[in-house]
Amino acid sequence: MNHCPACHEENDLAARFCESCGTALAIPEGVAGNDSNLPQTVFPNCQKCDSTDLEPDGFCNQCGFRNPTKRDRFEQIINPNFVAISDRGIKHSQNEDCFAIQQLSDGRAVLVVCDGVSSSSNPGIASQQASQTACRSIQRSLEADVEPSQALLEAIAAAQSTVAKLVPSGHGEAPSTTIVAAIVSPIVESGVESPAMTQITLGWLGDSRAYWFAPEASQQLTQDHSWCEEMVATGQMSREEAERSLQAHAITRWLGADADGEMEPTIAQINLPLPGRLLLCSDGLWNYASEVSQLQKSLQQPEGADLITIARKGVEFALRCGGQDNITIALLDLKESPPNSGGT
Amino acid sequence: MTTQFNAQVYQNAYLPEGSQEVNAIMTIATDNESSGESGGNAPIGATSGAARVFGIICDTSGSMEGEKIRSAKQAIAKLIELLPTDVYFFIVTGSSTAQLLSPLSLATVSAKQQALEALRGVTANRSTTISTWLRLALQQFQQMPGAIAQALLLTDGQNDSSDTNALNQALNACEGQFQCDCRGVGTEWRVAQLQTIAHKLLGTADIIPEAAAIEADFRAILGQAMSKQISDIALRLWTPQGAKVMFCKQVSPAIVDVTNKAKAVSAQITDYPTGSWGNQESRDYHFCIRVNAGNVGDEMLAGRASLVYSQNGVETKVAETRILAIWTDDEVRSAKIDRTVAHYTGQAELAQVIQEGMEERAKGNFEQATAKLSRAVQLSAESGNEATMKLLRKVVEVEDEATGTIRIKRDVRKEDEMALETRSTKTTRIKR
Repeated sequence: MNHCPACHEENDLAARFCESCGTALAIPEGVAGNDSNLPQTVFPNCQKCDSTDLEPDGFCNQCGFRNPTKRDRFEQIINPNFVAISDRGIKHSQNEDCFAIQQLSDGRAVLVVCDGVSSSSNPGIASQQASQTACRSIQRSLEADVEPSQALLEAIAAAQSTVAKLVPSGHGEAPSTTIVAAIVSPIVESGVESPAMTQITLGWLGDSRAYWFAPEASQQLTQDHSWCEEMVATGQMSREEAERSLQAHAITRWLGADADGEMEPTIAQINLPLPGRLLLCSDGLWNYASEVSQLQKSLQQPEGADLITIARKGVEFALRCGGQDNITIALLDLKESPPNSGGT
Repeated sequence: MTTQFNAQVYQNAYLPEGSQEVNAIMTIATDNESSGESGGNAPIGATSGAARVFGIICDTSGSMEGEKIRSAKQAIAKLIELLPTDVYFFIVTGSSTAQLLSPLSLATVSAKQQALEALRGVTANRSTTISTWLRLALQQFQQMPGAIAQALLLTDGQNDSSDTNALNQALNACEGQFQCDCRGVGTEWRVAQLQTIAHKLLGTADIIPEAAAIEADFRAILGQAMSKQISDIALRLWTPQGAKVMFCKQVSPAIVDVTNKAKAVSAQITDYPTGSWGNQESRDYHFCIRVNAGNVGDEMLAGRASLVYSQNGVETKVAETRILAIWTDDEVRSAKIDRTVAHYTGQAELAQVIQEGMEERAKGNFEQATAKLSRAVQLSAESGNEATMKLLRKVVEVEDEATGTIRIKRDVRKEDEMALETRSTKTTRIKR
C-alpha cells in the first residue's frame, strides 16, 4: 500500500495521487536510483523559470511546469563494468521504463529492463514493480540453487502476478509492461570455471531487447514479441512488407492483468566466448539503431571511456535522434579471466 | 457532526502541440461521518455546531391579493410549524416598504405562536420595492454573525422600476451575508430579475405557477436549508504564472457561471464563493484555464483546486485536486475529449440554445427559434436530460428527438415558457 502523507489514507500502489484527499503520492521506495526520503527533484530550481519553489514531485509553484524527478532519470553503478541508466527522453512526459540490476556474491549477474506500455494506465508503476519483483525473485532462486532458466520462468511469473494486481486509474487499460531479464553465469567444467566462455540465460515478453557485442560475434540475443516479428516468423509476410505496416511495432506479449495465458515468455540460453559486452535496452534506444552494428557504434563512444559514460552517451544518442520514447540501457562488460563475470 | 468533502477531477490532460486551453471538471461531494438517518426527508432537524438563521421574505404588494396571499400565508404558517426549535427565524413582509412581521428569535413554541398570530393580520396592498425587504432581512441576519444564514423570497410581480438602483445597492450589501432562494408565483414576475437576485445571493430561482403549490415548494426549500452544515465555503483555484481563468462554472446541479464572482487572494490564487454545504450534497464545477504553451513532452500543473472554509478563525483547506496539462505529439491521446467534460459542455450549450431560442421566439423570429430549439431537443435527448425535454415539449412539437426535428408551438402557456426559461440551466449528471 502507498501511504498518503497528508490524510494517512492507504492508497493502491498504482495511485499517483491520494484517492481521499488528492495529495501527490511519492513513488514507492526502492526504485533504482530513488532513495526514499530525499527530495525527488533532480535540480534545486525550476528548469523553466528558475524558481526554487518546487513540489517534491517536481511541479513548480510559480510557472507550473514539472521538473525532472529521480523517476525521470536515474542511474546505477554496481562496479565499473556493470551499470544502468534510464531516461524520460523528450516526447514522453513520464519515464515509464525501469531497470533492476544485481551482482550476486557468487559472481553471477542479474539484469532486468522493463518498458511500461504507454497506452495502459500507470505504466511507470508497472515497469518499476515488474523489474524489482523479477530481480528479487531471480536472486532468491539462484541462491537456492534453482537452474537459471527455471529462475527466469519463476521471476517472470512473479512479476506478472505483481503487475496484474495493479489497479488501472479511471477508465484506463490495466497497467502493463514488457520485460527482458538476463542471468550471466560462469561456465563450470569439471569444477573449474571456464576462463574464456560465459553463459547467458534470457527471458522476455515484448520488445525490450538484449544484445551481445564482441569482436566478430556481435548479435541480437532476443526476438521481439511484436506483430512484425510474428508475421515474419509465421511466414505470412516478408520482413519488408511487415515493417511497412502501421502496427509493425505493436507488441503481442506483455505483463499485465490483460495478458492472457498464452502469453508465455521466451526463454533462451547461449554460451558465448569472452570478452564481450551485454546490453539490455528498451525500444527508446534500439528504435534509432536496430541494426547490431549501428547500435554497437552508438555504444562505443568515446573510445576508452568508462562504462557509465558510454551508457550516458547512449542516452544522448537517442535524445539527439529525437527522444521519441523513454530510454533505458543496462550494460555489463565481461572480460576473459579472472573468471568472475562482471569483474570486481 | 463532521462534513467530509471529496473531490475528483475529470479531464484529458493531453494537449496537442501549441494548445493552451485546459478544461477540467471537478466533482465535489460531501459525506457525513455520523449519517445514520434513514429515508429521504432526514435533513430537517439535522444538527451541527453552527447556529442557523432562516429568514422568510414574502411579497405582500397589492398584486398578491386573493388566492396568492392566502396560499402564501398558509405555506408560511406550515414553515413556522416545521422549523426545528434550535433554529433562529424571522419574517419580513414587503410591499413599497418592508415590515418586520416577526423579529429574529429562536423558534420556540411561544415565538412560533406569536409569529402565527402576526401572520393572520397580513393583507396585501401597495407596490413592490424589493430593496427595502432585503435591507430589513440583512439587519436581522447581522444580529447573528457566523450563523448559517439562509432566506427564501417569494414575490409575484416585477420590482418597481424606480427601485432598480436601490435593489442593486441592496444586493451588493447582502452579497456574502446570506443566501436566498427566490420563487416567483404566477406569471407576472420577471425571470431575469429573480435570477439576478438568486445569482447574487447564491440561491436558486424557480417558478411556482399555481399558488396551491407554494407550500410543497417551501417545505423543500426549508428541508434543503436545514441540511446545511457549514457556510461560507470558497472554491479556491491556484493557477501557474501567466495563466488566465477563462471561466469557472458550476455545472451541476445547475449551470451557474461564477467567473465574475472571483476574489483574488494573491496573484495566482482566486476564491469563488460557493455558500453553504449540506451533507450528501454534490456539485460539479467546470474550469477552463488558458496556460502558457509547453513543448511536446512537457507536463504542467495547470491548476490546483480546493475548498476553503474558516472555523473559529482558522482557515482550513480540503479536497485539493490537480488539473494537469501534458503536451504530446500523439494525436490519438490529445484528440480524446474527456466524457465528463464533453457532457457538461453539452449541458451548457443546451442551456444556452434554450435561452437564445426563447429570445428569438419572443421576438417572433420563428426560423431562428426553430434552429436553436431543435438543437436543444437533440442535446437533451443525447444527454438523457429528461426534465428539460419535458419542458421543451410544452413549447415545441417533437417529431424526432435524435435529429431534432421539431415544430414550434404557436400557443404556449406563459407559465410553460417561464418554466423553461428558469429551469433550462438544470443539468443531468453523466451516467458512469
